[in-house]
Amino acid sequence: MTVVAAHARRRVALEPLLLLGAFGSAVVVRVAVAGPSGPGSIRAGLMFAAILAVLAFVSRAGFVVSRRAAIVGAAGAAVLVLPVLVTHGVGGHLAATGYPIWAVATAAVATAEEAFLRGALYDAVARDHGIDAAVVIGAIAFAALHVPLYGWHVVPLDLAVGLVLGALRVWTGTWTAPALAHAGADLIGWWLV
Amino acid sequence: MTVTSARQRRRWPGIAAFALVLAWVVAPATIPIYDGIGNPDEPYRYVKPPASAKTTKAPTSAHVVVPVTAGSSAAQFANTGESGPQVSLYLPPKALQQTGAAKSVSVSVTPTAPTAPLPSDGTIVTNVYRITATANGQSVGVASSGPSEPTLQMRAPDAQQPGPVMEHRTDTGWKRERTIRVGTDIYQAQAPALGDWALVQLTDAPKTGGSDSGGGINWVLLGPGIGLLVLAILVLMVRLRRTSATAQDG
Repeated sequence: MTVVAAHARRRVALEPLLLLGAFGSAVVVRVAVAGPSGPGSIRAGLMFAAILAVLAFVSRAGFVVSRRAAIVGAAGAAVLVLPVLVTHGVGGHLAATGYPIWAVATAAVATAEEAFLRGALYDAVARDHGIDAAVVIGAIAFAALHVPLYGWHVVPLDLAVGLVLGALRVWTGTWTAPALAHAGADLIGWWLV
Repeated sequence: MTVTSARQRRRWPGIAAFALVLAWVVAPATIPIYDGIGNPDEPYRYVKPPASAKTTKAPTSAHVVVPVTAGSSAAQFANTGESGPQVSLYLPPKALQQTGAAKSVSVSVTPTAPTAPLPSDGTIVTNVYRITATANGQSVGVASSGPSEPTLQMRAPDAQQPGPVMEHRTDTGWKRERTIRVGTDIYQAQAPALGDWALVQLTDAPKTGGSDSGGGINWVLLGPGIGLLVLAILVLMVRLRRTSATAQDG
């Protein structure tokens, strides 16, 4: 290995740590802006999405739209909501009036989270530590992101959901499939609560 | 660009599906945890709803069997089934009293309506949750105070601030426990005893809005958060530019 290549490799190796540091800061900013509104704050959610989108853009997370990604993403959404349907059925407690604004904001946040976690961070970790590490670290970051908003009881399930979304990335080679699955599950979730 | 082998493509969906099923079986939760922006919780389910409450299904109970090895209880937790759970109980290792020959302890969390005597310092705003632990028909208590105490989380009916505090019933009345807010409307306390627990809105705590209409920003967190974020982005941009230039030179 040349000296130049070794230097380049060291620089690349720091990228996952920088991304994780930036991600942690973004979570802190979201919690701070949300204040008492917590995860229900659309303002804080959109700010969080904007930060993650910037990070994904700076890291050059590739954006690929394909029929396969769309189909796999839709199937992923179905897999994520299936346990809820089986165990809870359809709730229908929430009124439709608040749905449109919430849906747009939620889709934006879900897409930005996936562009960052299964796009930028996945690429950075996979380059240096392999695909398996990229899936696992992305899932841990996904679970950790929700703890300040919901408490620790969400960790087991969020970890599993993070693995599912990571598997969709592995399967399709693009973060658009997990983004579709994530956003789809969120949007359907309104009607299941 | 990362290279994915056919083996990895086959393996990860299987692992992920297994993890998802396991998580639902071991720690069933509900759909809001998938969110990008918090899905609203379902309306609070009361045993005895106040007049202004929406009609809901009945509140659920939580049950868990805690394995006992060499007299010590294992770590375990239980959530009620609402979306999101109205109660989460975490029992760390050795949280429960030694049970002699018993191999397990059955722990239940059951919602009940508030009954007299009521707290003197405020109003119960949730159901009263009765936490019981039994082994071989005998009641089992919390082993000791400190790190092995159970942790109890309860969801309030709304996110109004100042929020309620957690109290539990004792022989002499209701006792307030140190309460921290760990979610929008979720409160947590260490539980030195099982028995009856509830969230109590203190009489002397003025209510303020918990909406998203402005204010409420935590500036102490926001300043350092933005500072670290900008620093990380700048360093990241510089490093990626250098890496890109090095690759082109090479």
